[in-house]
Amino acid sequence: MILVVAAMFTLSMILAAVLVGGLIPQGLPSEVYIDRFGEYLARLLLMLGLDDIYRTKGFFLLGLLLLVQLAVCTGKRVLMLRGNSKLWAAGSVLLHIGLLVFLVSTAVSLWWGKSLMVEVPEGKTTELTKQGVPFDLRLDRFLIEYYPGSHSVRQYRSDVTLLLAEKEIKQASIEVNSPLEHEGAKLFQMSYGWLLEGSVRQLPDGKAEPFSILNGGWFRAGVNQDRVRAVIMGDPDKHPSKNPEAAFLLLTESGDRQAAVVAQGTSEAAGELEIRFDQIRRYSGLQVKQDPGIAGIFAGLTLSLFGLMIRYAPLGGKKDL
Amino acid sequence: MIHWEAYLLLSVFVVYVGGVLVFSLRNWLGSNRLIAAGVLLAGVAFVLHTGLLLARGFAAGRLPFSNLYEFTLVFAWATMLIFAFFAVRFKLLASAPLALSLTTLLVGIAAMMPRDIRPLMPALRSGWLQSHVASGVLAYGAFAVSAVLAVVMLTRSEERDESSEADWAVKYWRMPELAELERYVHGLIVFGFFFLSVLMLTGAIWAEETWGRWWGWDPKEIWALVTWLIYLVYLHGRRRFGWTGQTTAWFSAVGFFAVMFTLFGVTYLLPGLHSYK
Repeated sequence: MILVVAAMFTLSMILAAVLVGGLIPQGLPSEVYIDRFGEYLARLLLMLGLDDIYRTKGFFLLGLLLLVQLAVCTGKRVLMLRGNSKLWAAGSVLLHIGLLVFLVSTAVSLWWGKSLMVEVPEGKTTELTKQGVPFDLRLDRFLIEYYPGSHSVRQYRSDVTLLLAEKEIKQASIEVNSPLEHEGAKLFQMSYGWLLEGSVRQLPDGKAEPFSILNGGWFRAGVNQDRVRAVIMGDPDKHPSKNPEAAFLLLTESGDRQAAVVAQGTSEAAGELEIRFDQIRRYSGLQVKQDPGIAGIFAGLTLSLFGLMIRYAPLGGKKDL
Repeated sequence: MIHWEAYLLLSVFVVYVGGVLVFSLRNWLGSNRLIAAGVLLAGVAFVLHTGLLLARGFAAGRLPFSNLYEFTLVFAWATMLIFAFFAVRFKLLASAPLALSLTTLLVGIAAMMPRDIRPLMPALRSGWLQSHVASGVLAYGAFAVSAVLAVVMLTRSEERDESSEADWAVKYWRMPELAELERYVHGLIVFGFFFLSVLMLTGAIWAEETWGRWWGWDPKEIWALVTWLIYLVYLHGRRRFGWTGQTTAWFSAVGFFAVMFTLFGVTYLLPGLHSYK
């Protein structure tokens, strides 16, 4: 009985913690909390880690506690099963074993699983092997499919080639909802967009430094390392142009602002910088994931579901268990 | 907006309101003829409701499962269906005013949402959409009916009307003992809990395929987990601590509150990946 009380206590604590995360928005910058909850309350909240509660030590500890209690409970259930031949009791055991498999696999996944996001420009290769992935990846072509007669995206796709030491080992396509798996690494189609490519030169006689930046992104340039934002004018997806223009916004340390609109293949001065805009290039946002826990997670949950079904099957015959 | 849909929606709502009024009047006047009238109105409303969903499905060329308007309508429909099954099987028509009010409320809420049919975004174009949403509909419908019966448990007076007319109407209008109601609430929660689990598993598999993460602490996910944990505590408490009566009724009511918050609160207050308004 003490075991049950303890497990119920843990479950209630987990419920409370999950609820806190459901009421306080998670993972926002600290200023947002100060703005919303006031200085004092926000500091307390940040100190306790309530802005990212599911990654606090306390939450992990609760999970661990649940795992231990579940293991003991399940062990007891298995022992009790020997004197009880009822099917629903076996269902209950199956259900808890499944949850155990699930929790252990989740721990494996948290510990050994890893994932990274890459933005691969069309025609380029990213060296994933440097990050511990068993292959490099080249984006051969990126395609967007629209619903007929509209600008609503129906599907998008990356045609890629997997490489090992510059040797092609596999060609395949990755779509939303249709990832590619190879040698334990899985590739997901996450996003897409445009890169701006060009170079920046400090006036009057600096050397040109090339840049390649996501549309709307910031980079630093010049001797003062000023912040520069690059934005494509218009939407190249909806209105492709043979000669696109890009706007550059320059922010100096002293708070000075300069802007320049640069046509493709030309350069313009912005403050003490000369910005050259060469071209835009399509990129595909991919996630690369290696997770040894994932099979166990889904196997455990599926097993639990079967157990749950068997456990409560007699209710269909109106018995109250 | 498409006219037929607005008219059909309005007539569904009006006929449901009629059903609520007639069933409520039955409690005031005690006339058994009103029960028949109420059943008729609820039946007509349900048929119109079914027609609305079918028409919507044909207009969109898919199951009406892909935004909050469609989901709320299907949820209301499933609540009616599950309640009708229970009301007939276990003779619980006396709780019809409450169940019908809830359905009417849901249809009313749906009527205030945007109804335009938009093409599915790439992430939603998956075979998992149907099973994910269908299990959600079954779970939510069962929880809704369990909450209705729980509210009946919480508000019913102890003295019972002992009029012993034995005609069919009185038989169907009777209010069962608390312990009997509690058993129905339990059965409904078990049913709902199973499908809530299916909902979360299919969602996890789908999310893993689409976004490469089976769980991401998205507000909708958090609140689905809150709901799941509330009912989990209930199931263990009832089984192991012998919780009965009012305690379990409160769990059912609070659990359903979490369901409603997951559906509407999260969508409008805590937007995340699931905010398919």
